[in-house]
Amino acid sequence: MAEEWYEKVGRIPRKVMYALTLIILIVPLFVSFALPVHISSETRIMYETIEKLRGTGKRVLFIACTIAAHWGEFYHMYFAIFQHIFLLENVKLIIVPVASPDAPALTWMALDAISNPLNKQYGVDYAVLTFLPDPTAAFASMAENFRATFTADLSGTPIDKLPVMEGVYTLSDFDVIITADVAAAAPQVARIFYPRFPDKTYFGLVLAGAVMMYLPFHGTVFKSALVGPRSAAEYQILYGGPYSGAVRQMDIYSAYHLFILIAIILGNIPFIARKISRRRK
Amino acid sequence: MAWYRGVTPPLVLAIIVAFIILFSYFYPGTFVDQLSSTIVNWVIIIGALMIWTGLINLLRFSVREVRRKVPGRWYLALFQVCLIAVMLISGFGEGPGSTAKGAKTVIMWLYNNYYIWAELALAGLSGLWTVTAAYRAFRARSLEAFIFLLGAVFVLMRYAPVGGAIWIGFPIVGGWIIYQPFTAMLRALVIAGGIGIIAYAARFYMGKERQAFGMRG
Repeated sequence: MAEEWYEKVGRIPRKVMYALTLIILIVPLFVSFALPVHISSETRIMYETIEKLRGTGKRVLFIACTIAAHWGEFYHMYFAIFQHIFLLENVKLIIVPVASPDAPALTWMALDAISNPLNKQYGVDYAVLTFLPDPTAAFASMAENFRATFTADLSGTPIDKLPVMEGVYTLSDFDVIITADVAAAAPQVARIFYPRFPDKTYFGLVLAGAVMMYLPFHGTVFKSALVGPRSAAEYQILYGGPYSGAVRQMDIYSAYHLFILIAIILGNIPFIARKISRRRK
Repeated sequence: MAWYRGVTPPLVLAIIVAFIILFSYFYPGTFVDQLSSTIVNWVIIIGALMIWTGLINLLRFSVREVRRKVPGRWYLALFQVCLIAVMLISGFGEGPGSTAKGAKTVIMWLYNNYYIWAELALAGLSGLWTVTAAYRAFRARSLEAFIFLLGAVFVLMRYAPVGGAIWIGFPIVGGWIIYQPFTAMLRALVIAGGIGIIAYAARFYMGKERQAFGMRG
């Protein structure tokens, strides 16, 4: 008996699926489809909150806990946040690498891509403080006495010599606290920072695949979060670039997501067709 | 057995430290609070030392594999030892400023041009597996599976940049699934975990939890 067409659809070899995936990922690199990007409410909330800091002289604390394996997603989010803050007049950025030994180098990588073209001066507009290895101890120490936790920045310059650190003594001296990767540090923010400083605005940056680690704290501890490069692209569209490349990559993301949807439909065709065929018989 | 038989100096010390940290939360600005801050700073230093413990352990493991010439693995272990040596030599040789902003050093070159991309390549492989997994596993075999599948499709299209442009219902329904039932379930898990931590802490304070010291609880 000849094999039904739908049985063949249900047995597409794995290698063919891999090849199709590669084609789906590569083609948008060369051909721009300019697929529309929908701006989510989470991204808009974060953008509007940071935008309101413009010209106020307020400070943003950025806690970097990202590992290198996730940098593909985080780079665009770091880029978007740093660039937006640097585009705002008179907003100071203080970065603390925590937990991940990769965090200091990754932070520099994002800063190097942005700070110089925007004429931002290290020590005056922003600073990267000493790396703290243990997340719980780092958060506890920062909550206890922020100033005493750090004696120097990452290059060894005493923090008293950094103008950006003038008037910074406790976490109360920051207005917005952003944690990346929030999947790794959300419990520390919720347990240590939030009970002592509930009036601060907390945001997070999180991988699309790790959003479940952040969600229990969404809307309670954290006001909002950027979730993956899609959110970074939305954010960059909101502040108007220049972009890190995330917006350009959205064609690839859209094509990939649509291909997963097609794969699900293809996988279900033989199953449903078999059921219909059985009923007819 | 008498309760005090299993009480060892490390256990007593750990319980005292745990009580100091606990009391510092209720008595801010007191001597206990200052002591707690000092202990927390010690933890940061110990945490830095732990990186060395991990490194030594990894080196011991890799060197043992090379010596025994474990088939299919010894050359990878040798490569790993060489990479560790290169990173250590370049890092220490170039001094504390070698990872500073704009530093043109061997360690930063290796980090930016080898380490990050090797990690990303490994992470990127999951992109291929996700498609085949979606093709093979997401089958609507029952009503429950169909509901699960429908939810997954809405969430998938919510995270697709083009999802909201195709149909505005995707971000609305997908967002509802994520922020209502899914978050509620996750919060239940977190609360259950929190209760578990309290129970664990109570056992620890009573000296009944000794596995951290290599003893049976």
